Amino acid sequence: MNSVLNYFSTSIWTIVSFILVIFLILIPLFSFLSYSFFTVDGTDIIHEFSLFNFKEFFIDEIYIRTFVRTIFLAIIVMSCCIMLGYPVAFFLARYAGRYKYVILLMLIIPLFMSYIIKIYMMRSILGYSGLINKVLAMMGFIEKPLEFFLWNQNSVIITLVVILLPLIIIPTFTSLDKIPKNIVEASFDLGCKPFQAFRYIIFPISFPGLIVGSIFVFILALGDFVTPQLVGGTSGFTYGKIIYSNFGMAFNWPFGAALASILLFVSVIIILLTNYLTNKLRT
Amino acid sequence: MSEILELKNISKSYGSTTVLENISFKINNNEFFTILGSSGSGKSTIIRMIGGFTKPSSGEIIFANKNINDEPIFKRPFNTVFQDYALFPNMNVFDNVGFGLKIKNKSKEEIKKNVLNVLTVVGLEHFSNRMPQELSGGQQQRVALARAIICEPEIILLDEPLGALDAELRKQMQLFLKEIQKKIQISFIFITHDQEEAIFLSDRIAVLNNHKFEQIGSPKDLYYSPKTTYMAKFFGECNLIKCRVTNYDSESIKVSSAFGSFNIPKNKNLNNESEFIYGIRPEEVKLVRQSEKSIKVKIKDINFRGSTSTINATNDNGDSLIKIQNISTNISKSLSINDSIDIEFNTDLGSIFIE
Repeated sequence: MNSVLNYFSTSIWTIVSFILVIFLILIPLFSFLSYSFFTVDGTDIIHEFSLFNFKEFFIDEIYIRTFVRTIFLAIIVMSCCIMLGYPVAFFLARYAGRYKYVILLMLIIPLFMSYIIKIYMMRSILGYSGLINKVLAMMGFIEKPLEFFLWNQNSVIITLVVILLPLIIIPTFTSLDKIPKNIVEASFDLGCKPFQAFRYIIFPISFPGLIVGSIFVFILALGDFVTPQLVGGTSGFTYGKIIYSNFGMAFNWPFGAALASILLFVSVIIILLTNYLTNKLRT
Repeated sequence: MSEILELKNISKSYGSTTVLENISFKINNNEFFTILGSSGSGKSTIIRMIGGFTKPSSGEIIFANKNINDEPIFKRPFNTVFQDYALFPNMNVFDNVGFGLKIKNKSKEEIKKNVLNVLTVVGLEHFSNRMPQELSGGQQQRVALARAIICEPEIILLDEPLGALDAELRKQMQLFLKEIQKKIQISFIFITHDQEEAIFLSDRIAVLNNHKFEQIGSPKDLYYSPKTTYMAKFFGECNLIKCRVTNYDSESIKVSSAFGSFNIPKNKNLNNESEFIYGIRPEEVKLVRQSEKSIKVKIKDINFRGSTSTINATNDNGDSLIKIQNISTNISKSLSINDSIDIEFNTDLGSIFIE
């Protein structure tokens, strides 16, 4: 009797979790995908199967060009995050002693803040009359405000890096922090100089954490549309912004859905590819 | 036998906490040397200092007539087997074992040949593709040992390597360690808190007590000629009896104690009237027929354990206790509590401790 009840209670939870996945993830995803095969006539959506949207993507070269440019942007953001985030995670895990979790918490706090607020904050730092220009002017290094920081690709990159940096620090820190001290000692014991210990032991063990963080950053940078909108100006035209404008301004939902599907497809391919390469590297 | 390593007056303290005080010893070639001490006695600190992971507060570590206090870890010709193995989780068994050679820029063929060789020595030749996480504790321990052996160090430092293993496996690994040390002819400095393990494995044992070495010597030395009362009680049991010399002549010494007087062989550290503690192991106390040399005691309790039965007996006043072992079954059968018995010490094997 008890085991029958047990069986039912387990299977009920299994069913509940399946229902959640189906209703909250699969059905929206499917309807979203199906929209990409519809077309519009004026403001009406024509519910008939068509590959028109996908043809459009490949015919008008602006889409592919923007897509490729956005991928490059995401790669640059990811690389900057790796270069800045890894050393931070490394020193935090190995040298910050008992304060490391306090410092880590301070790095995480910005994640709880509104995304929009952070972008506005960056705007007030990077802008023509922003913090950087003001300080530089005050110290007499510049006469008129630098335009390097706002309304262009640079500002998009800087802002995205600042916002996404914690996402790479956290998993990297976690993987570095759990390396037992005596494993590093063992590598010294076997003749490693400090750099070799890093090269052969510490870095390989922390690598999966770095990869997880990098994928987070890459995917989020790839699909972002608010940052280019708010700090990118006219040259900050990214793929995410095109999708956004198709939904929000052009009311061409089917085409927006098609563009988003392509983005989703490419993202999944990238994740699978990284996974495959990481596994291959390890063996 | 030649010495290869010497520790001279090593002390170590963290802030105001003293961990080690004036530690000195020498390690001979091909020796199995054990440092025995309870947990927290600072025994790990000793080999961490030899390995180079910590620096002594004072004193010298001398290897091949050279002070190596400031030599960095990676330059020291010693390898360590860590307590929890410390295998590299990102490498399989083969790469773990070959790591030391890879760092020394040995060729691929040489590494392969040596690794397979060493893995055969430790009996893991079929495991070279496994990851450390896929091995049992004993197997991981062997990999850790193989990883140290392959570098052909002058000394292998083993930091309680068997501590995490269960009793059965521990026995096996002890045997294995002993055999392998004989086979590869490298000095081992072994750390343990287990007496039996130390006695079984070691050529020499150093007993650490209260931050200092109590005594260093072969297991037999430590058992038969303990230098302090601590040592006498440390290995096995020992009756410690307060005595005073009453008659000192050229042949023998007559002493008096709570159990009455008895004779001990000549000893140049004693003179008339000197007080000392006499140590005699329970198995060196014999039950005898009454004679003028024998001492009369009263049985307090009998601990019946077949051939290893023991008797606790008291003197007439009942204020001193003595333990007697190795009683012929014939006799122990007939004894009961409160019986009077006659005993004699095997005085050739007693020890004298002058406080």
